[in-house]
Amino acid sequence: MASQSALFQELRPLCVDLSRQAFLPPNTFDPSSLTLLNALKRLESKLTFYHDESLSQKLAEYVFVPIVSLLKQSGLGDSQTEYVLRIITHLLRLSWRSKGTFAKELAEQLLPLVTFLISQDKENSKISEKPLEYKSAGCGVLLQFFTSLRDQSYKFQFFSSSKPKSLLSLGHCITILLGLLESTSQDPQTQIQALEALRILYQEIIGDGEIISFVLPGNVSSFVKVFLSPGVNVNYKVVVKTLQVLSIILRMVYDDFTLDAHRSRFTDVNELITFKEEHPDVDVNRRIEMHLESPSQHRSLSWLLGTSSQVKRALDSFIPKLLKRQNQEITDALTDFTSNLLKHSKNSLSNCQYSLVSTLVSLRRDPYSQLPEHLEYLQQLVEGKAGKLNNIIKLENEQELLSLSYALDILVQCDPTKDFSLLKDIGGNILEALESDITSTLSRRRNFKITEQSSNVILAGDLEAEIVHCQDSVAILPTMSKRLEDTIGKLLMSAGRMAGQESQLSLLIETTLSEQSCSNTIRKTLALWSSAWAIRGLYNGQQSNNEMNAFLDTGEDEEYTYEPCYAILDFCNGLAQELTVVQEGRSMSLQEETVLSVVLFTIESVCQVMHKDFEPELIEYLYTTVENLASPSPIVRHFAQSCSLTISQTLYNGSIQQMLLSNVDYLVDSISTRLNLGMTERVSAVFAVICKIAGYETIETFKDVIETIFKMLDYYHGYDELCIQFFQLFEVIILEMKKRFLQVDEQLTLGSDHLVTNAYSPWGMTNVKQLVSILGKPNPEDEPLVDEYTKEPSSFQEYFDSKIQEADSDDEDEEHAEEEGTEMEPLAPKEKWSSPIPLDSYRILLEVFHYGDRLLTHPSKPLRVQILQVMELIVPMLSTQYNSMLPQIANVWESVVQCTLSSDYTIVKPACLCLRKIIHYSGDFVAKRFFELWDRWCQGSSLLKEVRVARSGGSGKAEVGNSQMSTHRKFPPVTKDALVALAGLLLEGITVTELMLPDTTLTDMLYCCIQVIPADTVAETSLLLADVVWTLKDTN
Amino acid sequence: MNPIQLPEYTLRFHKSSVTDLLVLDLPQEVAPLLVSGDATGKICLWDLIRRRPISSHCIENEPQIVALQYVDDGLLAVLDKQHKLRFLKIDGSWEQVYEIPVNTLNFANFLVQRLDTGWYRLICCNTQDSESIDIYEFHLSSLHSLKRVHKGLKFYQAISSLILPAGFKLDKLGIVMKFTEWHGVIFCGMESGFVIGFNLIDDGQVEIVYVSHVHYPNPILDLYPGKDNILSSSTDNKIGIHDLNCQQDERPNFERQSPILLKKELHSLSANFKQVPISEVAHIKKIENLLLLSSWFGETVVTDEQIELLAKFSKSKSIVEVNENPQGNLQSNNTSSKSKNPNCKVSSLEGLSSSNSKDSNYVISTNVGQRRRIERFLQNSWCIIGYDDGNIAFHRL
Repeated sequence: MASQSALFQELRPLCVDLSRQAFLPPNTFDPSSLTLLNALKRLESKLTFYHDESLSQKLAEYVFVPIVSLLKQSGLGDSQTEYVLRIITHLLRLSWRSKGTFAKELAEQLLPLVTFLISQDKENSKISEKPLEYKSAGCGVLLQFFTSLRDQSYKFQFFSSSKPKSLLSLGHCITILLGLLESTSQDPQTQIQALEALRILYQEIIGDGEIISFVLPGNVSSFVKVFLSPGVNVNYKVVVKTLQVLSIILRMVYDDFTLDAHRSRFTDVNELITFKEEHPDVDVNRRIEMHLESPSQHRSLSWLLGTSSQVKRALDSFIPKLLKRQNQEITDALTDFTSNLLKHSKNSLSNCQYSLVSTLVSLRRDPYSQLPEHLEYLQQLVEGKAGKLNNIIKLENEQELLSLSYALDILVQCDPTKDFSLLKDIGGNILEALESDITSTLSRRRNFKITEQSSNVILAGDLEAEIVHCQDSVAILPTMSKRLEDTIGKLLMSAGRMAGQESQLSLLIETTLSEQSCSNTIRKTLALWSSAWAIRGLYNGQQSNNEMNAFLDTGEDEEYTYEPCYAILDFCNGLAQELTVVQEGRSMSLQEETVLSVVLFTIESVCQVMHKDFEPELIEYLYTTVENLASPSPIVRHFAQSCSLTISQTLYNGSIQQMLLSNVDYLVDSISTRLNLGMTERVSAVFAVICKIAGYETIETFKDVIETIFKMLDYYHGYDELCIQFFQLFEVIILEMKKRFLQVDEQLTLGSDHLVTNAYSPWGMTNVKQLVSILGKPNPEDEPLVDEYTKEPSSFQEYFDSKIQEADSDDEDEEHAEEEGTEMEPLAPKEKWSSPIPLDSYRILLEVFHYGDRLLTHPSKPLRVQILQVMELIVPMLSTQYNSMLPQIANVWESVVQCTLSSDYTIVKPACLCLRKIIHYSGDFVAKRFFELWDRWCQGSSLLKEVRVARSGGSGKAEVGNSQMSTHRKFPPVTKDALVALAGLLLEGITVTELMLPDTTLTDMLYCCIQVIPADTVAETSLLLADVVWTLKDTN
Repeated sequence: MNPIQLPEYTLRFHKSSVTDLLVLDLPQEVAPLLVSGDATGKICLWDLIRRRPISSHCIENEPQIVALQYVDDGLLAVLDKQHKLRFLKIDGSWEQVYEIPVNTLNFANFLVQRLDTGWYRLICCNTQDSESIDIYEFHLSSLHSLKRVHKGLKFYQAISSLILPAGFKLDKLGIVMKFTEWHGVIFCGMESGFVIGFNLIDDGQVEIVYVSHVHYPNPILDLYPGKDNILSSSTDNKIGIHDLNCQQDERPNFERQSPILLKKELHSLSANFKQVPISEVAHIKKIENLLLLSSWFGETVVTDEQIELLAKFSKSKSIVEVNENPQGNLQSNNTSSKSKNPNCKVSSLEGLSSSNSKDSNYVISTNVGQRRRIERFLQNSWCIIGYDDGNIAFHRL
């Protein structure tokens, strides 16, 4: 071995150096000499670099020789001892490790030697005062010693009870290790070494519970000291290791199998009484029987009863502390520890079962499925926790809540006897805790106004897009964080699962809810909220079970009746209605916000549970959901969005549009009901959305609702906000009507049945189509066949009245007769209906137009602007039946003109735009009115004054050439907008009247126009205008 | 007085006046259904629980639906203003099984009686003269099976032998207004206010068993065959109560003078009536002990048997009146505020009785949700009103 010789060459000088000191005669030997220390250090540091098992035994013995002689000296200084220990450690590591290299004799010598070196006295009194390095070296050598020993064939006999000497050193070295462990809390590395040494010793070398049982109490108390070292947060690795070792020894000592321990139950009372007499201290539930292998066994029954209570005390002292640390590694180790103990020692350590079960529940883990075997304790535990729920919730102890639901879940899965009083307790406690919490919060924040936003939110943007963007983190109850809420929710879900069967849960929920009939709103809300969670639990649980069943193919296909869901929905409906009535016309309070959120949350939950079966229920619940999409409260809106999304995903492939479209009838009926009850909140916004989505085709079927809105206008015209909303709604409806009946891009030309005596469009024709239709012979097939039936009176009522009128006109029923008579009075030769808009819809337009006319005198400016916009929209549509439009125009003319005279230009602008449309579509019908309009403007319009020069002294001519007047001037934006609209109106009027206008007026008008509109644009209108415009320009 | 009550819900489908309503309580259905017909030829079958149309059908050329009658075997008889009586399958296919031309230049409905499997009898107005009655028999399998059993029956002659009260200046009964059937007897209401009940006797003769003049001279507007008696309404403010007080005894020997016979025991006219709080009662229905009356003025009232007013339904219109007529209407301008009927017209009326379906088979329906809704729906009786604007309003009674 070349390498060995090379090593030898390296080591030899060091050993020689050391030998010089070691072999000094005792009288000259200085135990604390520096030379010696240096020699030791040099050798030690050399050895440090060598790999494990790289030294031959011979070489090791060579190195060991000076050490042995050194030890034969009468004493040795601390540092020197430390290095001697280190060198021995290295030797064990380098050559005396693998099987057969560590002779038994050597081992037997080495162990007492080492233990003596580390601690001379049996009580280890000095060891704790030694420096840290010293302790570390001590631990190291023992660890190496046991590491080497475990690979030797004699390891089991090494500490046999037949050799008292070895037992003595065993005891000594264990106490040393424990002493080191306790005293090196500042050095986790050493602690871990000590623990590892103990582990190897117990587990791999001794491996006998009987022997270990002797040292167990000392170990346990040391370990507990480690866990509980005051004021220090013990290193987690140390904790983990300690738990591991503790677990090993406890398992070895208290193993049920080797102890053959059984728990026996009493068969009769006498037995119990005798037991009680014999063991007055022992819990009657803990009668344990053991079968001893030999009478001399240390671990007897009385030993067991005695020590196990110590163990329990130990466990109870450190487990809670470890649980509090919430360290993942510790949690893992603790889980392992606890479940192992439960698995292997449940009889021997039966007194610890409750603690262990409780620990596993707190950890919420059970890797060996031990909990189902301890249902009794689990039940106790759950009951205990349930009783404290009130406190737990108040302290927001989420961990406890989670543990409780974990425990409940296990009970659900494993316990066939469901305890419903427990469920009621849990539910009741939660309700109580939450209620007092919320009530106090709400009363504190009584005057707190929720942040409101306009109800037109859903009209503004893309409904679907906005809904998709909703997040998931909004808390439903004002006092609780989303996390805590979810945790309590989880607990309730477990409770729901525990109910097990629909009928049971239904019973439970129904009683809970019916108990609330006289409670306050908060309590009702909370009951609803809890129930919603509970059903989530029941059905989610069962559905996942069903998935498993699908694999197992039990053939049992459960059909749900969803009874609890219906109970909840009913309650939900009641609550929502209660709220709607209270809330109408007021701003929302915090409490109402919560109630609404819970209602929506419940609807969503039920939808999630019932899936397709929820569809028929939409009849009652969809409106609430959709309405609250427009809620002023962002929180409510969030839940409405989430709920709509769930409904659409469950039933309509995720399309909100489809959801609304499929239920237009239900929504409209809800709207109609509300309107009839005089409730207007948000109704028009929702209605507008529906109209947009459904299109006019569907709107036709609910004309009655539009009629109701007209009725509301009759009564509530004083409320400008409401009126604006209605006119916004009309705008939507009219746009839909236009989409339906008039092709938007088709230019709305005047019908061929009306002739305009306009100068430049002969016979009023403006396009070729009209010419063709005039030239072309009327096609007889175009004439609608006149049914002879339609000539009949359309109802008996008419018929009857006509008869009465014929027969006895001076009947006493005259009044009625006349009333009816007017209706059936043959309305002059009826005009042919040529508009593409059917009469019914046309009437709606007229009605809107009419109401607009009435409300144009309303003081609210935004309302008037809105009305003018709607009118502008209606005029072209009315013109499709030209002759029917004219009386309306005549009616409305004056009101619109009034608006143009306003000094507020923001209202003048829409008025001018509207009037322009009117003039455009009425043609020469309004010519005379237009002339009058100009005169009135000249007198009264403040807007016109901006651009028009006052007539000078009745000369009849405008001062046109004034130098300060330049064409195309600059105006403030509002004025400018109004002026452009005004000029547009003037040009429209000029086009219609043209040749009928006196030249001076025309010039006057055009002069106003070209100041705001480019002259070129004006000139393009017609030749005549061009002449005037360019003349004006020239004179300028 | 009770304020006007609002409908519990409204069905919206028709775009024109709802001209007839018919509740169907079919044994194979878990809940009652409703059929509605409108002025533009649309017929709609409704699921009253889901409040949605099950299916709908439009008769070609969109004539006004005049009347609906359910005949056995899932067939619906539909009379329209284009002079057609059609038998349609009600299973959603709306397949036409039979058709007969019927004179509809009047206000009368029709009456179909089932005689035997496939055999039916139709009672309706005469093809030329609405004042007389035709009776047909036919088999559904063949259009040629149609046979006119009686042609142009007029009752004036027959009843003129009865002693009329003083002050009656009567030379005819006027056109037929309404047909109905009660305990096998066919009743028809006449324009002159007479209600006549008759039987068809085996040898092809017609036997008049009942005559009432309670509404004279006002026309009969509606007849309703109730449980205990027949009710009639007219333009006056009373409802006639008609009962067959004379027993159906063995056939006596008649004076064989014409195809129309007058029952021997029948000597006097009945004139039982009750005063009601409204007049112009265009529709009358009775469910259990509630009387439903609708007037021409859009008012529907509910009274108990003592004619105590219980509820009042109406649907008001907005104040603003629009007129698309370019000529304007001078007369209406004068009286515009006074003349306008403030309510939407009631164009049909139907009642749904809660006891109607007490032992119905809805219980077998497995779906709890559906069962709950059906139960809730059948808890009460319903007044169903078809309006001129195409809505069908449901009022819980």
